[in-house]
Amino acid sequence: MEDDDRWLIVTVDRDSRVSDRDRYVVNVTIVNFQSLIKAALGLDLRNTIILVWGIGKTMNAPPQLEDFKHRAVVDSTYADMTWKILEHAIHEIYNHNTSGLCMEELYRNAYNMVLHKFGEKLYSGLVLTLTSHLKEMAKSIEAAQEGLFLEELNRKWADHNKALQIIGDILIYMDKTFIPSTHKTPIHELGLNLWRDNIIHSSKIQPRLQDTLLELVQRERTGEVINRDLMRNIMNMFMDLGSSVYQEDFEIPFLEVSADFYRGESQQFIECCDVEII
Amino acid sequence: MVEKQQKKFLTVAPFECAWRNDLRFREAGRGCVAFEAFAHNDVTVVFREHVGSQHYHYKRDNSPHYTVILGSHRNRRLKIEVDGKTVVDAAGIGLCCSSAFQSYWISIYDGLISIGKGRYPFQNLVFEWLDSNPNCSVQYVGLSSWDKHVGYRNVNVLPLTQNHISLWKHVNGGEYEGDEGGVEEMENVSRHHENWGLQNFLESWELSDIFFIVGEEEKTVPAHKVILAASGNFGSSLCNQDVIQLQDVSYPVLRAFLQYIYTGHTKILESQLNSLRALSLKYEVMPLVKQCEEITERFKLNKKLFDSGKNVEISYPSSKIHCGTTFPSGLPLNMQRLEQFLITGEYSDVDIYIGGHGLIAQPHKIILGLWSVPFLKMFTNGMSESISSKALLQDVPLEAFKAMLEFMYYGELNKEETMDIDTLLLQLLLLADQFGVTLLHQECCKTLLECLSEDTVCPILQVISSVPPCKLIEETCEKKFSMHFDYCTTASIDFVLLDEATFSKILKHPDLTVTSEERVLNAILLWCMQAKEFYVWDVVDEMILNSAPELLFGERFQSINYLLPLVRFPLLPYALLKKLERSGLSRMIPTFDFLVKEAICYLEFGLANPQGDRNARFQHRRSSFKELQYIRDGDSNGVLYFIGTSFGEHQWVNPVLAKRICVSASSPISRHTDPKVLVSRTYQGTSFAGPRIEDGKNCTRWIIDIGQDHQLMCNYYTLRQDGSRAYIRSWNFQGSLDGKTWTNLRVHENDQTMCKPGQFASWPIIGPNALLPFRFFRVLLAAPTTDDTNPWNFCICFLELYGYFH
Repeated sequence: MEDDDRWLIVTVDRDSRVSDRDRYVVNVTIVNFQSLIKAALGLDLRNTIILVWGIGKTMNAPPQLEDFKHRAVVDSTYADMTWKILEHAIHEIYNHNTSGLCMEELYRNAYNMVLHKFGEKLYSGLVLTLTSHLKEMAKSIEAAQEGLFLEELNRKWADHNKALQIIGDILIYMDKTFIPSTHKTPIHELGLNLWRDNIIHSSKIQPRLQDTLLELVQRERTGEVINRDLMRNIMNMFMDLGSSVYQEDFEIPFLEVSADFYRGESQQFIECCDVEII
Repeated sequence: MVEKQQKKFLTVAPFECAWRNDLRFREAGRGCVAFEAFAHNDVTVVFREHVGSQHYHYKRDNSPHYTVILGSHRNRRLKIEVDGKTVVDAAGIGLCCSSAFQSYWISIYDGLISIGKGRYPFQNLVFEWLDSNPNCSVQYVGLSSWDKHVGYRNVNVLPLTQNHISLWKHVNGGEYEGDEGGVEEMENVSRHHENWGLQNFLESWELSDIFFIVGEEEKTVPAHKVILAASGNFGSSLCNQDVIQLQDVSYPVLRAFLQYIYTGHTKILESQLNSLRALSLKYEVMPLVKQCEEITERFKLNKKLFDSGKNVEISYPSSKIHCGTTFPSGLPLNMQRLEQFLITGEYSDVDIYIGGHGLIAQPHKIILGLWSVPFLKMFTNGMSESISSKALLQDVPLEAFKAMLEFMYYGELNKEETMDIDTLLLQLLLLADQFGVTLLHQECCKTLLECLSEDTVCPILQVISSVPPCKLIEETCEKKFSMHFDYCTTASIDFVLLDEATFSKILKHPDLTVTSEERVLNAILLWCMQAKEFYVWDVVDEMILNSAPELLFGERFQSINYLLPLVRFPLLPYALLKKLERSGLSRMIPTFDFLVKEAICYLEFGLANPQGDRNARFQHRRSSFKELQYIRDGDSNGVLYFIGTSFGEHQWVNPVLAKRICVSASSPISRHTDPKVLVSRTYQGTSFAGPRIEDGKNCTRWIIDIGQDHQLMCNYYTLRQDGSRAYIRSWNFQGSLDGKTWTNLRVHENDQTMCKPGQFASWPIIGPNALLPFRFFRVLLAAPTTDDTNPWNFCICFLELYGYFH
């Protein structure tokens, strides 16, 4: 039994040719382990549900109390499969497909990974996945047109926050046990830090954001009407990221610009009003 | 000052008292102080409203106070004084110890004074007293003394909460440390606890399934059907509609009404009291109706109170003594109705399916969400479960999940159901951990601790080591395991499933108690092989000759080098060591070879390096047992003989006369039923224990108590028939730790061994029970003897026990 290298893959694909949502195509294949991994990497995970059984293996059996008795070894392949499911879920969350996900399944998988000492893998995987999503977001923000830059940033910020919240829900167990015991950054804070590092402090966005904001301020001072809600949201984002971010990225340059502006203003004022300075 | 701050250790001089501002209950009249003390007598703890001075003495205090004196009257009595008058004076309990620091805790809750020993508050209660006229203002704790110095350390003041386990954690963590951080953390824990509860769902749209429309302004107020239905009678409006229109009720009244239901207390303007009463009468929320009426009565009697601008406070009288409301107790909800809703699924808004079992319950989202954050998120975060009314749970044990549901509705564990089923309790613990049901988790831990036995430590350890917040149970189990090492590694092979960290912690445990180092060696070999059945080392030795150690030990090959040094080879007999030296194990495993050679060298020449003597390997185990081996019938090698010589110190004297052991029979002492005869080593023609009926059953027996400080793992015993014709045929030889619950060591059924008058007979104890240490032993007649005239006389004139004694 031990060296049986046969695996059963059942894939359920949403049939893309038919518009009816409930049509699925089921494939059953028996492969060896190497092809299994290849197959797993090649599948389009967005429309596919994969079930894998190791023939003559207990590895994919859900690890529960019985397994503590029956010396089942939950090995790293199990962790890989579980992580794939969670990674896929994170993609879906960022793609606004939350309603298609099953909280019970995701929570259980995350719980199992932590319970079986794959917390480290889960955490590092989370960091990588979040980072890759944020990199993508950064690109689309960079690509935004001049007038829509702040809107795009704000929209992505809202998306990120919402996604972060749901990811946090899935990973409550890790947040509660693994993270405090290993002194890692809690998930919410981690998400904010990654946003700060990948978006706000990215070399292409940071100067542009500052310029745009200061320009808006300037425009309002000269009497134009600006979108104050947008401005407020961006300021709230700065505050959420911590007061140091607010200070460095906005407050200090803003005060400098303001000082310049009012210096000029007062100069003008003095010049145009014929006031005698005693 | 009398304090020595830097060492967090304080000595109180005679007739002085140490007061510190931080030694104070957060809530007046309620709190617990845990401390360690070291004194000859009179560990004195004073509780009063304000701090006193260094020279304060409770005898001269005029203001109200409580004084608890541990070891009063030259360490003979426990005393409690109220305002200088002695109210409790009990002999022999809660004494102090002059040789080492001893841990105590004292809790006060509205006049209920509880005193216990040990580091864990609310465990090991030794005394409790209720003041009929409670002093609820005591807040500061003074540490005092009488005529001798008293040393205190690790003094912690703890709030009284539901969750004692979190207090224990605090006690463990705060040891020897300046406790600034600890206290803060403690507060966080309890604050988190206070925030939890149904009040979070008051006027919340989350999970709500009905709403009120009130007042002229038509304000909408959300609520939850199941909560309303459990608190009163809302009639048919709950079943078939989602809106309740109440145009003539104003919003503040409805708010007060809901607040009372969801939190158990509310405030309302005096002028609105009548409308509130009318509303609660309409929906039959009877406790509120009653309280409204009482308050109105009071206003009528006392016109002065009448002030229409004033807020009136109404609180539901909670029956629970200890503070903190756990759902559903402390809320004006009808428990029976709530139970009924769980059973019938009335007002249910979710169907719970369990993979492999189908639909198992129709509970209410709000109640699941109330207890468990993951469930709350599941029902609210927009994934498939929050859209449909169906939740499918996979890999969840059915029985345990049902037990968890019941806990969520009843607020407590059904102890009868869960107490004796260990696996269910363990599954429940895992579930509680998985779904973050903190209180259930604590309840399970508590129950597990209460029913911990040698047989359950192993499975519990396997599960617990993967669940993080169970340190206390883990430690207790490890201690229990190491104290019963022989039994736990023999009764079941399951110990090989423990992980390495746990197993090595057990091996290193200071309380590790073994009859022989050979057993430690065997256990390590079995563990490293992940053996499926029992072997002793010589079987392993043969196996290793046929295969390489790498193959034999597999993935635990590395562990063997790490674990073997935990065997104290120098304690093994020299001959055995020589045998080990020649064995295949020595040849194949270099570490083994080194350790054996080292031990032989030590026995032959003593230590080359005197420093190495400190190494634990060369020291005797702290609590090792003396082996008293059976040689022949009536030999001088038995336990009772050994006790008769005061453990080898002098000539033998009868141990019953010397009061070293206690022998008792089922019938009163007489010429023929004499305890001292049984251990006298001289033949007596007639000696028996007579019949006695207990609970309708005949229980003729002899009991031997080897004394409080001694235990024996009995592996052999001898009886001698007296001169009569009554030969015993069916009887049980049993052992016990407390003299109440008995374990069978050997069961004799129609045993024909006894056949001659005055004959000796001996039997070995076979099986793992021979490795359980006991204090009491008894022979109990199970069926009549061969003598027809007096069939229930247990006729023996001698008894001796053998085994590992300490």
